[in-house]
Amino acid sequence: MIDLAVLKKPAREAAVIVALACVLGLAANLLHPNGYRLVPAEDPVYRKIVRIDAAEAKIKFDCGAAVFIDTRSPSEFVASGIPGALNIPGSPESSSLNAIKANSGIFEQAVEPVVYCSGLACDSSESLARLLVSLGYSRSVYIVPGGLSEWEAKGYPVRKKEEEKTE
Amino acid sequence: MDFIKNTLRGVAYGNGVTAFLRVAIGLLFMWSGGAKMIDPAGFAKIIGFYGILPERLLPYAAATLPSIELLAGALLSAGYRIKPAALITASLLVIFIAAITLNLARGERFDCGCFDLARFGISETIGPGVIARDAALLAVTLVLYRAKKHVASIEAIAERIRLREL
Repeated sequence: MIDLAVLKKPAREAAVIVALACVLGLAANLLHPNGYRLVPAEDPVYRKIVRIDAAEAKIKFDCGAAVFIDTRSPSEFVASGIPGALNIPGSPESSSLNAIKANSGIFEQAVEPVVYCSGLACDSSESLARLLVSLGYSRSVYIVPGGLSEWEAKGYPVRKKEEEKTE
Repeated sequence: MDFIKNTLRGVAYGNGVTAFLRVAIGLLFMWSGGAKMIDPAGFAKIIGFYGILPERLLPYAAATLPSIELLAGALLSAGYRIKPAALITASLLVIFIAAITLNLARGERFDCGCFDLARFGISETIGPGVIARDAALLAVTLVLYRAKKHVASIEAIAERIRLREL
């Protein structure tokens, strides 16, 4: 059995190590290109980002009032995507800014950007949504966290490269 | 039978096998922490799957947990502050086992996000296998905690220097 009195010193040292690791982790997060902005939830950027599921995105798709933005790489976008979506890669930021500038006409209209990437494991949609809000292009930006995989799993229309060739 | 007993006694006291296990577990935790640090958003999503922490704490957990794993792993493999590092890894493993067991009981099935081994084709979907593996790692970390001697470690080198200077 572990003697609790003997445990005291290692436990104290462990607490110091954990505290040091937390400081290092938060510092690394600040320097990370895709790190979290550890700000309160009241931050206006966060209030403007709205997470919706594929079914809600489909309603916006059917209404035609939303512009779908695919944040995956151009090659992935060419292979498949939501019909009518624009491709604005979520990273690097310079590519995102160039693509936003190239499509600035669309953002000047009263449209709701619905941003998506491949699925739960990607975060480029989050990066682009933050960028769009910080640029002040829209009142709200919608993210589909489930991405194209959730959209496809629900049987909603997906543009495929092969289909285009046969058409 | 005596051979097995003596071997286990040797490992529990601290020999080359103990050192190997210490370095291996240290490297495993370093790998795990490093992989999670590269993709904090992906790791936050995995923590979210467990449904234990409130959503607003997920970014903080995703930013700090990997660095704890990384630092504890580095200390273990280098053989410095072995006892506290073993205590941290053991605590992390207890938390992992509890979280996985809870979600298994809820009927959930997802990648546990433990050691990022999926990229090597090793399934880490939560289940009895993952719990057994973490329990085995926990047993090893407890052996490391209780071991009296740590060969091939900074602590052993420092002790040798200290004794020479006496």
